[in-house]
Amino acid sequence: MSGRKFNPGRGAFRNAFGALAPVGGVLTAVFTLYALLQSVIWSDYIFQNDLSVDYAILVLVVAVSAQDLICLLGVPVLMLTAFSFLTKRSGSDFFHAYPCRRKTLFCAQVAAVLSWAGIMLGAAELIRIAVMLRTGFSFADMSVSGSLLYVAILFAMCLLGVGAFAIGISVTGTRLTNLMASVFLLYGPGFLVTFILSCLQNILVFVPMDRGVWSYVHVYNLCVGFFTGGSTPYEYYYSLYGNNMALTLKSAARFVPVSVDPSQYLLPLAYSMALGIVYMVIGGMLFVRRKSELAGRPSLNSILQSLFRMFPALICFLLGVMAVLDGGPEDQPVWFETIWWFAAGIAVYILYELVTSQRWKSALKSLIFIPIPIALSLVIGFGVSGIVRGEAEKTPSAEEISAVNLLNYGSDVSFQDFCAEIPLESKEVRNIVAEELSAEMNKFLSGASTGFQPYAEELSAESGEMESVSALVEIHYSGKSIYRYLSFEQTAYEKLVEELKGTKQFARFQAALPAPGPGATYYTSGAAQNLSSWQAGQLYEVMRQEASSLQDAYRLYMGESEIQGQFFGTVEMMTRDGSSSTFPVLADMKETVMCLSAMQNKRSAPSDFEQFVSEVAGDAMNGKEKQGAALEILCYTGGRLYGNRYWYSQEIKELEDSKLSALCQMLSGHEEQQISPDRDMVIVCFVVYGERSEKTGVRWYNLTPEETDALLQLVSLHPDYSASTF
Amino acid sequence: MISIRNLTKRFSAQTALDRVNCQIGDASIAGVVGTNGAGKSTLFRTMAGVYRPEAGGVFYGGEPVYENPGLKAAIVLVSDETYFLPNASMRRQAEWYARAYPTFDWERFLSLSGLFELNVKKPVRTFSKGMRRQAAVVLALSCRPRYLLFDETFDGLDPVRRNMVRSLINREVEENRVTVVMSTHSVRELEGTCDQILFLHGGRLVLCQDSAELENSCVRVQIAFSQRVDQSQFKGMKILRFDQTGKVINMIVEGNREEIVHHLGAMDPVLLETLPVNMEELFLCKMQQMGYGLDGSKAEKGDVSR
Repeated sequence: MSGRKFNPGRGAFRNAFGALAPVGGVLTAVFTLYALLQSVIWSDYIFQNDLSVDYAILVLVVAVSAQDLICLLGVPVLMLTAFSFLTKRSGSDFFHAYPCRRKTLFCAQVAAVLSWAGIMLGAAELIRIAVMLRTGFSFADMSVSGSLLYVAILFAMCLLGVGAFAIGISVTGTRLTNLMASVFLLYGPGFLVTFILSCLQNILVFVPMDRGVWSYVHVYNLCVGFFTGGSTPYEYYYSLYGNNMALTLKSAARFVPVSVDPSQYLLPLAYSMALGIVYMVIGGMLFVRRKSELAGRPSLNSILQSLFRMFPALICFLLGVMAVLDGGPEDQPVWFETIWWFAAGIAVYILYELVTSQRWKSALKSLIFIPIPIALSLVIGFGVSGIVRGEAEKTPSAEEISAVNLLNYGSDVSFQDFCAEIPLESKEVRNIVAEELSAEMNKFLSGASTGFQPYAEELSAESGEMESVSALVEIHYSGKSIYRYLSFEQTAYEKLVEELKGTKQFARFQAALPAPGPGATYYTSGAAQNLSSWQAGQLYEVMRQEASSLQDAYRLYMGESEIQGQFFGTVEMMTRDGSSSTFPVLADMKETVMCLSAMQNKRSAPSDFEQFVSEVAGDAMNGKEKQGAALEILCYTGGRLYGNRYWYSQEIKELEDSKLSALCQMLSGHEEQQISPDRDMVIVCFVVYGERSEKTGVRWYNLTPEETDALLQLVSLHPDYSASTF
Repeated sequence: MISIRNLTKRFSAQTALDRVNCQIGDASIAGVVGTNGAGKSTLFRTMAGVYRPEAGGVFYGGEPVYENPGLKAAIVLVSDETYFLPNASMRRQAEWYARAYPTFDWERFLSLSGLFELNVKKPVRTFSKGMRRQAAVVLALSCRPRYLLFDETFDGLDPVRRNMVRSLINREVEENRVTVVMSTHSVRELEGTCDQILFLHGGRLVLCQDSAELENSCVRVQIAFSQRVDQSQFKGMKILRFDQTGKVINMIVEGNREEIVHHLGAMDPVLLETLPVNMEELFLCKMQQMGYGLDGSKAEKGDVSR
């Protein structure tokens, strides 16, 4: 015996770790190989397509990484292996006779699982880094904050998996039931939330989804998010809200480089982490109290067996109820889907009993209790639907309403956020809102009686017929707040806006904005209205934050689109053949200002103006461009697009050598590090279109007002030029 | 000393152990025998701290065993179903034990493995049932515990190995003052080995007695009279078994041998011979008495322990 003091906990951990070695070793080898192959394939993809790193990360976000697989498959396999002794009587005897407390045994097993998970993750990550270093293509975020966030997300994932499986193995005694209970714990809550959201769908057009307690809950569970983020069933029901999945593992880890506000990940991360810890603690407590005689049995007693049998059946029954509540396409009978799900529920119910008890008699006998999950599904389904309907039916009168906030006034999210904080309390406003609310309610009730679809169609038809403005309003009454999308007549809406603009808060904020710059004309994309000075100021703020954080050359396109009231920003990436692709980068995050992100999609894009001229514009000027080539210079100043200028192939020689030299001279002294967030910032973007144009360059420069004027004169930019790009 | 006090263990509605009380002295061997489903394995698991009893408890030197790591480090249970880590060799299993039991003795492990001719590098899954049992015994003895619990110890062992195990156990008791509790279906296995016998039936302890005392507590009598007599004429005697063939009577009588001989001698028999009763006969008598008949009928529950 060694002279070291004997420590039962350490011994238990070493034993658990050693016992997991065969499985852990094989999994590590498999996942490492997967990481190696994937990294090589990614590197080759980046090389073959000449992609920039950030763009590649966005493209590769759809791929399932080795790390994802380790969390979602490796950890469950390790947990089932580590606690497999609980499924055999001899194993249970052996481990429970072990000279340590059950709590110690549990901690040792869990620590061993997490250690192996750590080894697997570390090996996969090392391989990835090695390939990145070897090839020079950093297809993953290597920044400290990004890496820490990624590690935290993976840790939360592991915790969730370990916690759920700890509970599963503690309440059941066979591998099958372990797995079923654990999977149910992991995905059951997510399913229930999805179910609730499905019920809410009936009033989506009326009550906003992104307010109140339901918002985003389903995405906080990282495991749920992983599977539901891009999956067909989820998209089927909530394709719109798929954007929120940016909060989940896959995207959260990879969107970091183009994120504006990393804090948006912290809440879901904290939620998942907390959920994982809660599961672990509950699992530990159940393990300590677990009766050893449960080994090899699906449940400790017939009551628990009934409960376990009911859970999977309940899911199916709920899906059946969901089909009824959702309605369905006119050409497909709703009842067929409902009956199918109920039949599936009964089959699952019998099958569970048959597999676990291995007796037909017992399986058939269990049918006596099947009305319980059926009744439960009806109660939950129609109960939730009723609650939602009750929420929708709240119609306070003008007298009861104390104040109203306009939540989506204006086309800019930052502007909306500001306006949303201004309460409108006049009697006229309250009357308008109360009337609209009552009218909407009536429409909803008439539509709800025949399902969601007719109501939605009716609304759509109405909006086409009459001039109305749909606005999201927060209505305060009796100390409570409700949120509604109301369809105001143009005149009524203008009164609300007039009231808003007349408030002191609005005037005070407007006065604090930067003064208009030269030209005083503001351009936005073709789809949007001209910006107000306040909007321009807000955009200026956002852009200068962006500019200070961006490190590469980008072409920036900030547009806004609207899908059922949801706004998002887009990034347009130019490709060498002149085409562009657009990615939404922002969902309806209340706390986030409009997310402006941009990226360079090609590694070969010039990194400064001189390079740009010599490699791209130079070619164009020398007539080497084929037909269709063009050079574009965009200038932003004071937070606004001052103008832009195209030189098409036939005109490209208008850019005389002297002008180019002057431009080079002017801009070469302004490196990106010199960009400082002030109102005189000028952003010059250089883009070349055309078949021969292999380089696309965008550069941000910080110029003095004098330099700005000189630049504008030099390239003959005119403020009245109507740009198609902001 | 192992003290089992009012031990009750239930599995749902079934009572596996019902108010079991007994004491097992230090440095002794206690044998547990019982009918099928009597609760022997449950008793062992509860004694090893695997099961948490519903009432009462098992105490070693006054300390309860359940969730008592310090005490459990001095106890090794060799279960009726041996368990080895998946694909483990005996050596790897020994490493596992060495990390769990501070008293694990590697030298002893290697010498015992050699004695039983077991390949410590070979995966245990390739061993035969008897070899796995031997491996379990070797590992248990290598832990040098103060308490050894063997459930169905000799199951699957050939006669040679049985003797080896038996002698090893005896040596452990004599040299290291280890307390051993072992169970078996073959009551004869316990003869000459155990200091104390525990009879379990229907979850209750029907007998807990020093084995020497137990063997002396009954006597087999072969008696014949000049005329035919029946059982009613042996009033006042506690007869456990009575077989009559003609005028010759074979019976097992509970009580002091001298007193029985004196009593029967007074009845003027033509033949009176006494023989010692073996453990198996005693067990069968007790079970028959409990209603666990040879016809397979279930016994009524009743505590007849002394």
